[in-house]
Amino acid sequence: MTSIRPLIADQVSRSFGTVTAVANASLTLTPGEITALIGPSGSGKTTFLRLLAGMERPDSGQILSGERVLASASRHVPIEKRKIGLVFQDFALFPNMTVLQNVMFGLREYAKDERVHMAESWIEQLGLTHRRDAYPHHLSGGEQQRTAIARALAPKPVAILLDEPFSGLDPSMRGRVRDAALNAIRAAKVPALLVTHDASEALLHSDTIAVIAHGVILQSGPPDTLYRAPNSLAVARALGPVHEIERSNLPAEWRAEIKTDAPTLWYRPEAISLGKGPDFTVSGSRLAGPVTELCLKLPDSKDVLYSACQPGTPLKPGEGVQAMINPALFFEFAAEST
Amino acid sequence: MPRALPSLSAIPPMLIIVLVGLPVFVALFAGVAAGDGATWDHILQNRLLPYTSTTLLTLLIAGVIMLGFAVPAAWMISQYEFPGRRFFSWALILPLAMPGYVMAYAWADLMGVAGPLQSQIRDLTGLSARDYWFPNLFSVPGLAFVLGSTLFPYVYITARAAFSMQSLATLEAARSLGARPLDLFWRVGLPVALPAILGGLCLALMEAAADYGAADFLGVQTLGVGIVRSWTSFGEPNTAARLALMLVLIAGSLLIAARLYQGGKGVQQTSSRWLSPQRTRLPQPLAWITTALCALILLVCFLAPISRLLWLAMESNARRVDLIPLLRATLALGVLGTGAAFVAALVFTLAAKRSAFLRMATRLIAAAGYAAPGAVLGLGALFLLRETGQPLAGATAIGLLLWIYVSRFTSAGVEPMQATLDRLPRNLDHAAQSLGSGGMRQFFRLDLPLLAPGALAAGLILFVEILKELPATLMLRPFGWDTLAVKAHAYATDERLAQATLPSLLIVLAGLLPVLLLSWRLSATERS
Amino acid sequence: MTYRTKLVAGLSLLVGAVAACSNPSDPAETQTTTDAPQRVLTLYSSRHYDSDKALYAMFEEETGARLDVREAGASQLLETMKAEGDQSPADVILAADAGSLWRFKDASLTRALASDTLETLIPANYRAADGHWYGVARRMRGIAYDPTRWDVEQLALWPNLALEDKAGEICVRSSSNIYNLSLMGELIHRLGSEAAQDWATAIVGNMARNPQGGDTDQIRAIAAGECSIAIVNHYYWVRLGASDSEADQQVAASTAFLFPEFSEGSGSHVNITGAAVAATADDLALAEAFITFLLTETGQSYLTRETKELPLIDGASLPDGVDALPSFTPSDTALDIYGENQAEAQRLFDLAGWN
Repeated sequence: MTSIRPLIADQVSRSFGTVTAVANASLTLTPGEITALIGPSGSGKTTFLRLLAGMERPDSGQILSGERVLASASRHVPIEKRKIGLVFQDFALFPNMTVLQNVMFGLREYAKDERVHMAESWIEQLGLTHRRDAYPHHLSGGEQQRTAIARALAPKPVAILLDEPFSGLDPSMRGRVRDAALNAIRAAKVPALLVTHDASEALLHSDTIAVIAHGVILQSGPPDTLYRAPNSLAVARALGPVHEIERSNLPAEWRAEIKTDAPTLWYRPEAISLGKGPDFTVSGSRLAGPVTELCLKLPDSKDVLYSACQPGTPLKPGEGVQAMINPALFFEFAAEST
Repeated sequence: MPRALPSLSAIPPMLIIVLVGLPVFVALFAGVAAGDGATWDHILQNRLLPYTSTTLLTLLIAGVIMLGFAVPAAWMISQYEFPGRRFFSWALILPLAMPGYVMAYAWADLMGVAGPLQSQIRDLTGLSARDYWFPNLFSVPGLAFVLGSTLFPYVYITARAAFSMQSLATLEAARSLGARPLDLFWRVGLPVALPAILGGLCLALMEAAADYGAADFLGVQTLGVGIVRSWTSFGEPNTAARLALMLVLIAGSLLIAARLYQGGKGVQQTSSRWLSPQRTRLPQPLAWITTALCALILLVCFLAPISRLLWLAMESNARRVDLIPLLRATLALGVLGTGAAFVAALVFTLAAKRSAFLRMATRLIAAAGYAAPGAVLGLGALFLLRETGQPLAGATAIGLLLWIYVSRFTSAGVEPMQATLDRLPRNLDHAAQSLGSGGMRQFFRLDLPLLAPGALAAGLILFVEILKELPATLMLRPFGWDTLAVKAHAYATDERLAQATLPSLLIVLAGLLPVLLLSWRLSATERS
Repeated sequence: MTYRTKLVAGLSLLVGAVAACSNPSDPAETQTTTDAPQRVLTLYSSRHYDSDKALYAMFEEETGARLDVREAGASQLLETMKAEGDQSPADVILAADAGSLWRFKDASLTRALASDTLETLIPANYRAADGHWYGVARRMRGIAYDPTRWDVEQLALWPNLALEDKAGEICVRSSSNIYNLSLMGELIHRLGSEAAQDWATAIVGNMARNPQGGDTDQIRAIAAGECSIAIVNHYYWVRLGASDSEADQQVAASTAFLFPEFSEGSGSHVNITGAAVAATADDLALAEAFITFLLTETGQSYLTRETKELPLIDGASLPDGVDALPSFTPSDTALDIYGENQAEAQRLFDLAGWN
C-alpha cells in the first residue's frame, strides 16, 4: 500500500475569461481527515475541486500529492493518472453496470479474482451486500451514493473529493447515509474534501473547514475555531447566523464584559441567553427545533436583540425577562463590505 | 363543452393502427391467401434461401459500415474539439438527402470499369481491365456500402444525441478511476448510448432492407429484387407479396431484438449538473487525423457522388426538360404526405405512452410498413382500390398515395418523437391523456411545445423520405403528377444517366434544405 | 369550441389544396372553351421518352382529342388495370416488349381490333394474329463485340456464345431484364427447356463478371477491356455512336454489332414496341386513330428518332446512326411465345445461376 500523503493546493489560481474563479487558494488536505469546503454558490468551490481532480488546469500555482507535483506551470497530470476519487451530487454511476461492476471499474490493474474480492469488501463495508447485482436505476438515492463512494475508494485513491454528495438525498435518510459514508472515508485514511453549502454538515462532520468566497479561501482551520473565531464577517456568516449591533446600544454591564472598543459588533444568537442580567421585554418568540429564538427589547430602546436559548416555559410578547451573554461569541471585524 | 368519454381516447390510435397496417396486411394476406402460384415452389426451393441470405449479409455489412461511420464520428464530435468540428457536426447529416438509387448511379459511374477512376488507372499503367484488381461495386459489399453511406446519418443523429445527453459527471468519474480515452468510449460512452444507437440502426436497416432501386441497379439479388422479379418476370404479384413477408419478419425481429436489449439494461440518467459539454482539445496530430477522417466520410458519402452528378449534368448537352412541374408535384406530394404521416406518427407516439401494449403494437405496425418495399405497399393499395371499383385517378389516386406514404413512413416519424419523449419522462403523461380527453387546449399549449424538438426532426425526416420515395409514387400517382424521382427513374431505366442526373440533383437539393434545418436544430439543442 | 372550428377550417383547407392541385398539368383547364364534348384518349404506357411527348402533342393537335398518359412499368400498369376493373380509364396500352403485351392479353385486359389499315401497314409477324396488339417499332437484341478479337462467323449463332472459346468474354445484364427473358423465351421455343437451360448455364460459365448494370454498361465494358462480347439491344449501341460525347463515340467505334441467329437461316430475334386497345376502351375509333397515327411516317419518325428503335413500315425515315447496323433476316417465331414462356425463362435463368 502506498504511504498516504496529504493533498496540497499551493497558491492556485484559475480564471475563465475575465472572471476569476479561484484566486491564490492554498489548502492542505490531511490524510484521514475530512476537510469541508463551504461557500455560497458561485464562490469557486466546484472549480477548486475540479482543479484538484485535474478536470481543470490551474493558471498558476501548484497542486501536490505529498512531494509529487500533480499540476504546476510546467506539468499537468491528467485526471486519469491522478488516482483521485470523485463523488458527485448526482451519483454519476454507470447505468449499464451493476453495483459490483461499478465498484470494480477502477480496479483494472488487479487480477480478476482480486478485483471481485476487493470490490465486495467495499460493498460490504458500505452495507450494500444485498444490492451487489442490482443496476443503479433499481437503487435508492442513498444506495446509489454509497455505491459511488465505494467505487471511489476501491482503487485506493491518493485523495477523495466529494462534490455536494448528500444534498441530493432525501433529508430523512441523509443523516444515516452521511454517517456511514464518512466513516468509511475516515477509515480509508485518505485526504478527503467535502464540498458543501450546508454549514451544519461541515460543522458536524469535518475535521477542518475552509471557507471560500469570490474564489478566495478566507479562512481554514478546525470547525470550532472558525465558528468561534471567524476572521471575517463572511466566514462568520458562512458558518451560522450572526447579528449586528451598535456597541453603544448594549446595556452597560454587557459592554464591560466585552473587551473591545469597536463601535459595531456582531454576535451569534446563542451568545445571549436567559439568566441573571439586565431587564428586557420579549417582543417575539419562535420555536426553532432544539432552541427558541427570542427577540428582546431594552426598555428604552427600539433596538432588538436576538437570542437563541434553551426553551423553557413558553414566553409571550410583552413579558419581562433578564438576559446574560457569552462574550466569546461577540465579534468585531475590520471594516469590510457586508 | 362536454368532455369526451375516457374510453374514446383509445380510438384514434386504434384507427391509425388500422390505417397504417392495412396496406401491408392486405398485401401480405393476398400473398398468403391466394394459394401457391405456379412459381412459388421454384422460389421456395431455389431462390428463397439465396435471397434471404444475400439480404441478411447486405444488412450485416451495411450495419457495420453505418456503425463504423456514425459512432466514432458522433463520439469525437460530442467529446473533443478539433478543426472543423462544428462544420462536421451538421455536415455529416447531409448524405440523408441522397436517395440510395442516386447514390448507386453516381458511385457505379465513378467506380465502374468504364468510369473515370478505372480509366485513369488504365491510362496511367497501360493495363487492360482484366489485369488489375479493383473493388467491385456491383456486389453485396458494394450494395452495403451504397446503402450504408446514405443511411448512416440515422445512426449518427441518434448516437450524437445520446453521447451529448450523457452525464459529464459519469465520464469524469470514469476518468478519475483511471479510464483512458479509449476505455471511456468502450466501457462508458458506448454502452450507455448503445440502446439509443441500436434504435437508430434498426430504423436504418429497415430502410435498407426495403431498398429495391440500388440493389437492382447493382445486380445484387436481395429479397427486394426477388420481390419485384416474382412480380415482373413471373407475373405473380401474390408471390411477390408473400416474399415481402420475409422482409417484414426480418424487420420485426430486428425491432424485437433491439427492444429486448434495451429492456434488459439500465436506463440513461440525465444529469443536470455540468451537462454543458466540456470538450477536450485533441492534441496534434490526433486532431488533424480526426478532421481528415470526418472529411473522408463526408467525401465518400456525399461530396464525391454529388460532384460526379454535377459533372455529368454539366457535361451532357441533353435537351433540358422542364423540371418545374416535376418539382411542384414533388413538393406538393412531399408536403401533403409529410402532414399525413406526421399526424399518424404523433398519435402513435402519444399512444405509446399510454400502455406498453400500445407502444409495442404501434411500433411493430409502423415497422412492418417501413420494412415493406414501396412496391409491395403499392400492390396493397391496388388491392384496396379493387374493392372500391374506382379508377386510379384524381383524388382517389392522391388519397391512396398519401395512405401509402403514411403506411410506409410513420415509423421514421415515430422514432425521433419517441426519443424526445423518453428524455422527458413524466411531463408528457398528460399529453397521452389529453389527446382523447378533449383537452385540445392543453395538448396544443403544453404537450406539443414539449415535443417540438422531436416533432420538428420527425417532420423533416418524413419530408426527405417522401421526396426520395419512388416505387409507390410511380405506381399510384395520378395523371400529370410525375415527381423528380419518377423522372430520374425513367431516365435511369432507359440508361440515360446524364439526363437522370438533373432530376436526381434536384431531389438532393430539395432534400438538402430540410436536412440543413434538421442539422442546425440538432446542433442548437445540444448547445443550449 | 374555437379549437374545433380551427381544426375543421384547417382540414378543409388541406382538402381544398388537394383538390386544387389534383391535376397540375391538366390540359382540360386550358381547353374548356370548346363546345363539343372533349374526346379523351387515356394511354397507359411503359415507355417514357421525352420525344413521345412531342408525338402525343401532335396527335392532340391533329385530332383535337386530349391524351391522358400514365407512365409506369408494364407490370405496374397491368396490376393497376386489374385493380381498376371496369372503371379503368385506359383506352390504349403501349408496351416496349412483346411478352408484356401478351401479359395484358392473357389477363383479358385487351380487346381485338380489326383494322384493315393496320393489317396492311404492319407485316403479319409484328402483330397478334387475333388483333389484340399491333407492333409499332422494332427493338432488336443482338451482340456488341470487339471486332479485333472475333470474326463475324464465330458469333453468328446464339449457341456459339456457349462455346468454351468464349470463356470469360461475355458481359450481360441480369436475367430479370425483360429483353433477356424474351430472348430466352424464343430459345425455349426453338430448343426446348432443357437445351435452353444448358445454353444459359454455359453463358453463365462464360461471363466475364456477374450480371450488373444496364446494356450500355456492357458495351462500355468491352471498350474498357473487361470482356469482348456484350448481349445488348441494338439501340444502346446506336445511341453511343450518335452521342455528343466523344468518349461514347469512341466506345461505339471500337465495337461492332451483330444480330446472331438461332441456327443457320433461322432469322434473328426480334422484339417490338407495340400498342393494344384496352378492354375498357370506349372510343374505339380514337384508339385506332392513335395506333394508326403511330404508324404514319411522322409517327414512326418521332417514335424512333430519340429511341433509335427500327421503324416498322417501309419507307419511314431511319433514325440517325441506325445505318451502322448490319442487315438481318427477322425470325418468324410468333411474338406471343415470349410472353407465354416468360415465367419459364426466369425459372431456367434462376436454375442456371444467371443473377
